[in-house]
Amino acid sequence: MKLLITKDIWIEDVLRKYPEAQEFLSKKGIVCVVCGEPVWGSIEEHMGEKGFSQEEIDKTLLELNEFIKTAEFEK
Amino acid sequence: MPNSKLVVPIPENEPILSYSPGSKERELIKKKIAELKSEVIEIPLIIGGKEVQTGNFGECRIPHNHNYLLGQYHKVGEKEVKMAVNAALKAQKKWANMPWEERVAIFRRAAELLSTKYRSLLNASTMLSQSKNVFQAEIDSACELIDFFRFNTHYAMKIYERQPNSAKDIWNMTESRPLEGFIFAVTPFNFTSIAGNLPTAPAIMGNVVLWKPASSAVYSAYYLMQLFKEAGVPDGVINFIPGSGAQVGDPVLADPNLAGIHFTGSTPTFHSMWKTIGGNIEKYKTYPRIVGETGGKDFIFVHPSADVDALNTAIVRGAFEYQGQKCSAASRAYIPESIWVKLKDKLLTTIRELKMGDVENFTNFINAIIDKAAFNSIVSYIDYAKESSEAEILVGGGYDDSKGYFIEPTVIQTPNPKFKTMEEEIFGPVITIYIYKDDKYEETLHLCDETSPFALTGAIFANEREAIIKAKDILRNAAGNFYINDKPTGAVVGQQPFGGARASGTNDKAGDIVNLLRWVSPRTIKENFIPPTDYKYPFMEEE
Repeated sequence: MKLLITKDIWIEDVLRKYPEAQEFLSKKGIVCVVCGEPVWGSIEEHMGEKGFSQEEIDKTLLELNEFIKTAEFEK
Repeated sequence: MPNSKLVVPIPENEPILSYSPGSKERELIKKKIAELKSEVIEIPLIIGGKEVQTGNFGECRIPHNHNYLLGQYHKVGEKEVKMAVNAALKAQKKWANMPWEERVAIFRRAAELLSTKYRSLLNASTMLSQSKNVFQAEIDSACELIDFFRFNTHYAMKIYERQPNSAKDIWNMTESRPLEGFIFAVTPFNFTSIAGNLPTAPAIMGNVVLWKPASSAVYSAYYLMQLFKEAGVPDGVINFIPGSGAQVGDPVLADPNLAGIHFTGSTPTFHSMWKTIGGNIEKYKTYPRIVGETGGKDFIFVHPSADVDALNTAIVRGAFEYQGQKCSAASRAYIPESIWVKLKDKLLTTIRELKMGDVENFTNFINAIIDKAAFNSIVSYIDYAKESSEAEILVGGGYDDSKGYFIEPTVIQTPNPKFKTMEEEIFGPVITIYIYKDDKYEETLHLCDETSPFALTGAIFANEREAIIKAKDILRNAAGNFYINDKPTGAVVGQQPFGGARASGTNDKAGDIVNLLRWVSPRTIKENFIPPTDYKYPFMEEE
């Protein structure tokens, strides 16, 4: 499956392109916007800092891509 | 001037213009807003004084009318970061060697240009691109930034005049050298004044700077660059490199010439930068100075002796001005039962009166949230409170992003002092209130101190002196800026130096001499007028 969002993409770029990703990631405990601005770094780096394992990162990323595809389709 | 000892005059704070109906400034700002909206501008990088285009664009949109495009900006890439480092290093020697009074003159001129010619431009661009009402723009992009320029140049003189004692036949001197390398200034969206201060404070002290403005505030930042140029800042001293945070940050932080960072923004980003610098520590030519101001979970604490009307105004202004998007905004309040029964109706009535909308309608108190991502983030907290059995939304709670990113000023009440919105920074127009029993004052002060990792601002409302003394004592480390019977926002340069400790930052007070001291590396020089000519000391002589 071709991923819309890959793990090396910067959070700022994800949120600019797919603002709805913020809601999904927030529910997973991944806070992407602090002080009104996206945090620096890639999704993988940020999840790693939050203690996610590589397996969890890969799984969450697949779910995020599904979420974005559905949201885009509904638009 | 080689044969003069110059004095930078003691500054005064810039007066705040009223923008009342019929005033000249009101007419000028309306004209400038219309002028800015009449064109879509293209914003280049500015490196070594030259405009650089990358073709990789970001957009500047009006938050309260997000279909309206103000401009497109070129985003920096790794190649341009290297160009900016080289341009800064090329400008370094000449700038560092320029007599300090000449550098001071440039930034004093910047203050006067901003007070006059640039005032309406900077205010109008801030109103449009950051959705500030005219008063919020005036106290920020005009008054506070003018104050930063005037006070920082005065403090620079104070630093240069500090000299050590000398014995009779020697002369000791301190030279306050600029740092060896460049400074990386990373600025937030919420204050144009901070955007102006973070690159210029190190520059006043002779440093060269790479400046990454927030992606959501590139528009007003670009006009600041025009101000700097007209004031006389030489090419290459401040290099303007907007772009995605990590795209700019990663190559900059890896450069061996990094001598310091001057940051305002989020705690996770500051942690990430600090860790990166730690990981690179062996690469640098000098230990980088790390200066950062990050988040807050700022409180208003109320004693049963408090004045209810003053408290009401402080909560409304402290929590909701600029939609709560100030690091210092009140976002939690601890109120005794006896005050709450008198305050509740008054507070909710006042909040329902607040008008929300476009900044061009001057009767609006509330405007829009900066962008979609920030809007979503705030909404997620409001929805969480709506769904929780531990919280009740007393007023507000509505939101609408169809035209602009509007969120109603919202008050949440919770019986749980550790409820999510009592602990976490929201950075929006949301305050959570915890009601405590009147006889639990001291216990609740300890609770306030221990609830959040942040320690930026806080306020105590009380008329009994003993209660104030107790609050000052127990909350000593809970806030870097502590207010008594006043809202926790609105620090004024030269009066309430701003910054906090704990997770809120390094507390190197912006606009104060302690901040400028971070941008110099003192060299001590001893000159001996009569050097000894014999290695032997008197104690060595034969008896």
